Amino acid sequence: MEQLIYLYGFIPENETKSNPLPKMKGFDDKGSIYTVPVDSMEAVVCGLDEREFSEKALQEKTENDMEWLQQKALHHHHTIMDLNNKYTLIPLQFCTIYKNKDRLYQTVEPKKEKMKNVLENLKEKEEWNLKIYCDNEQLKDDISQYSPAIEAKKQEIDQLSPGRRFFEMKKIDRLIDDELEKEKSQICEEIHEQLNQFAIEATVKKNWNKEMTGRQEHMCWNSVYFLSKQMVELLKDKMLQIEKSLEKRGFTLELSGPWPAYHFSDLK
Amino acid sequence: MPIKESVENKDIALIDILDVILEKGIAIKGDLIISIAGVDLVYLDLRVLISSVEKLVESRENDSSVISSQQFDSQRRELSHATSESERWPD
Repeated sequence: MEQLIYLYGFIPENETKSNPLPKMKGFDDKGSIYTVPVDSMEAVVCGLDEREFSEKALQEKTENDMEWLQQKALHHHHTIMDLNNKYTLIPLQFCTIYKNKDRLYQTVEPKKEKMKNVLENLKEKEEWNLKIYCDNEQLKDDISQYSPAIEAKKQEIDQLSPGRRFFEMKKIDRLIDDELEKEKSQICEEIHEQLNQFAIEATVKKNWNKEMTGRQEHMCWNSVYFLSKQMVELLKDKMLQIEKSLEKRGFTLELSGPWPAYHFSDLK
Repeated sequence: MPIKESVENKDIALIDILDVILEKGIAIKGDLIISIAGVDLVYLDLRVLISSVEKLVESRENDSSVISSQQFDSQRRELSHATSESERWPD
């Protein structure tokens, strides 16, 4: 019976010569991970039993066995992270599987020149993720105290009768809500601009809702930066400096990395 | 540096991992076509799984006979309430 090939990623051939692949368990938790030479690259793979890991079986597992999915997702991630710590790596998506080695070669053949360029471009660079969270209430307090627009409105209202003042106060609440959103996006854009100066490339991603993050604060920014290794310390210092300056306004900045270059390995 | 260690120590949220491994890194396609729901659906399913395991552990820690008799009692009250309602408002 033929073995399926699970593909984790590609690394430059010369890097495995000086730094051989460590022993790592494969996707089935039985076999080992090994490399297959493809031109001047190495594909990092493991074999899978066709009977156990058919398309149908995998589909069934990913839909109905969440525990399995979690375990395998973590396996994929940890393997990719270990490879990324040792080598320049094009990371692949979860469950990229070929029927056999020939099929892997056939798929890579027309793309290998682009892949080599991507690998060259990934050398000595890292991917970092920034998430910004905001405590809306804290920022609202800050806005209602310090915003000139709100302050002017408040003074205007002070002159009114108590009945009208009530309705005008409601308007102020709405004004504060509008200001809050404006302020949040403006501050996030500014932070991004400041951090982006260290990056070669950046991507802004969508924010997750509270159900996804499980946090009290709102996520108001999510972006990834691709930068050369020597810029990383500068990025971190800048981030900490910005965070400190915004602490009292309810912002939290979270930088994580280095990630495998998931967002910057596209074969454009 | 604590920032740099967060990913290296693998102390990273599952949602971040799913986000990149399910939706990114599509340099080349495989032969097997497995359609996996978006990161949000998968993640929420996993959250349900994690919280149901937590609940299971919690209820095991408590005296389970008390819980079940309480549940039984409330179910009985609901049932008798429903029955008396249907008697007052016959079809």
